Amino acid sequence: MSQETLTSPVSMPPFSFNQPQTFELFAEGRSWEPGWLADYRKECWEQFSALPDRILKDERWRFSPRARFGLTKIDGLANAKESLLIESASTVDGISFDLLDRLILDQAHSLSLLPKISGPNLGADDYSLLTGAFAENGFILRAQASTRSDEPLIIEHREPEAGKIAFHHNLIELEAHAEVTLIEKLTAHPDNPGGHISNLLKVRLGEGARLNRVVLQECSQSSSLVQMENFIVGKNANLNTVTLHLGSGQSRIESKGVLQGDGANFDYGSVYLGKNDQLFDQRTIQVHEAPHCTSNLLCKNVLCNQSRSIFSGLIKVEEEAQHTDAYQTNRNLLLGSEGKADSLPGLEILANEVKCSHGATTSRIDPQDLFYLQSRGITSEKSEKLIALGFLNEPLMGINDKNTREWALQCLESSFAS
Amino acid sequence: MNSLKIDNLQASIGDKSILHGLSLEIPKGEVHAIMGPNGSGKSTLAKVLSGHPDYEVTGGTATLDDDSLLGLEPDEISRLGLFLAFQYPMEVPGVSIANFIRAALNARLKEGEKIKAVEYYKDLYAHMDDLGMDRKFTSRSLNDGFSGGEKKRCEILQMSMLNPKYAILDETDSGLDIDALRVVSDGVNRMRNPERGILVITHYQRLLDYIVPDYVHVMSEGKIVRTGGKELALELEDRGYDWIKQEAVAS
Ligand SMILES: Nc1ncnc2c1ncn2[C@@H]1O[C@H](COP(=O)(O)OP(=O)(O)O)[C@@H](O)[C@H]1O
Ligand SMILES: [Mg+2]
Repeated sequence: MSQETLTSPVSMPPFSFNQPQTFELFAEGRSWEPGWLADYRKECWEQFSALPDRILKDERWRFSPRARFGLTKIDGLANAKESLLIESASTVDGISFDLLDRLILDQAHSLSLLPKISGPNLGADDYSLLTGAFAENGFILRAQASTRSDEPLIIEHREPEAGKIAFHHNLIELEAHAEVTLIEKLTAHPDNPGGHISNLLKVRLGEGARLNRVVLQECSQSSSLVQMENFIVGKNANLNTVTLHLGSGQSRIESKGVLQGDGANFDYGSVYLGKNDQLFDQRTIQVHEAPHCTSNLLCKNVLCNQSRSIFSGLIKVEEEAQHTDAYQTNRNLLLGSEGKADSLPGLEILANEVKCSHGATTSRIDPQDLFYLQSRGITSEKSEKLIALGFLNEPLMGINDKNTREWALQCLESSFAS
Repeated sequence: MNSLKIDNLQASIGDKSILHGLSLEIPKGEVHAIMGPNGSGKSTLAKVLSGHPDYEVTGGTATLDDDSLLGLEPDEISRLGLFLAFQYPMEVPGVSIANFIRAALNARLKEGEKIKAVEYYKDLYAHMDDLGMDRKFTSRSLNDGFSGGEKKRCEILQMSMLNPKYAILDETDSGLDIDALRVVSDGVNRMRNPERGILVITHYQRLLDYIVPDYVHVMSEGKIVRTGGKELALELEDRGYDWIKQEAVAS
């Protein structure tokens, strides 16, 4: 460090979530917000401050090099206006697709549901609470009963500049028999990568509603992502979500699907292509609260170089949830010898009329398969990519919309090529 | 030199020696058949020529026209112009037939060349029609859940799309009913021409009624023990393999 910086005239303390002033200053700056929102922020902050120091033996962080999600690397809040962008808006009456920062100004009353749905609470409590306290933006998607949007709505979460964190508090609420397709893109900072995104999403589907959601994550290799999702699926509603993770230095994904109404259906697919020393830490839970529900989870990871994945999933079937069909599958393919995959599948079944299965495998490319492809003139490197691409194909086939599916496949393919 | 030429080839897997000095020459324009009992090393020969990494070549030579094949990677051998139709094709989930064949054709392009999608599909469909394959197969995963006959048709489809200089067909007839056998054989016969050499490996004489060879070789214990015309296949059918084995031992 040079002499000049040491004798810098201004003595601002560095940004830190460890000191109360960080929140006080933030809250002062937003004193114009309605009281309930200020209270909510304060409550989140207080709960965050009261969290015990990170305990080493937290089962919810088993296998995770948790330090990689440390808060000390963060040196400020991102500009909330720049970190979220609606790329394709709603054109349908009764379907609104808006940004939180605008709604707080115009229609704050419409946001009162936000605090009422609790987060997935699968381990990243600190991020979840900080998002409640500091989120200045997020997307809010609402569809009135029986509305339907044929064109996908598209939102872009933008990685902020290095060191900054964007907190997005997002909400999707579909009333009875509404149907919406949503694409979320997470994109890299174009010239100063290394930002953090903390995304908290709460979803509630009314009776017979249908949400098709596709997430494409292409953040920079030096960025961090914490994605927390809570899906509450009502009677005979259908939730289909497929995520493609191609970027981010470390990502922690927490997804909870709650089958709350009779006959609800939850389809969850994820694809992860790990490169370099990327870390993908995924925790899921399928909670069957009502009878006659189906949930199907398929997570496939390919690990190149020294990349790592952790999958921990639980199927929980409550006593009332008779006639449950629940499946959970995690498959990992290691390319090369340095990657690593940990898998912790789990079942907790209290009902007796259920069909449940879970499975986890980690494998390498079969040399006989490789020989077969090579024997057609394809180099071993290209053959491996082709096999790995084929391996990851399956969850993407769960994307209902054909154009979106092909787009996702293309994104995956070009990520392999680079 | 316009031939696939194998001279005194010896190969082993682990410490088990399988090919014991095998010699064979397949000039362009000819169809040769190798027959032999199970375990005599027919598939081993095909895989060794194709560069399978499990096998170690301990002696002899193998050349395709002027290029030595031994020590090359399987993909290099393929691009030199050798095609192997597998006895047991692998199942590769998620890799569609269309993408797979396109990748194989791409691997043969020169710098700057590109495959035109429209022409590619036209060509692919024409070959599929010839083999009586449903066009829907293009988007199906390679061999994944295919019946035996479908797998073999898919091998012949790949062969006809890749247009090799030499082709080795390893027990392409096994597991086929008579109709499938006819379709597959027709596919192979369409590929017979003065510019291509074909080696048909089979356990049964039946296939050679459909693909009539110029020469028949009998293989036993890692060697060619007898060579003759197509009538040799009929003789084998009549007398079994034992008399050849005995003669081989006697000589
Ligand atoms: N991967 C292998 N490991 C050990 N032995 C093998 C292997 N592959 C083939 N062999 C042996 O080599 C011999 C020849 O096999 P193969 O070439 O498959 O014969 P064919 O095709 O004529 O039936 C057999 O004795 C077989 O058991
Ligand atoms: Mg064989």
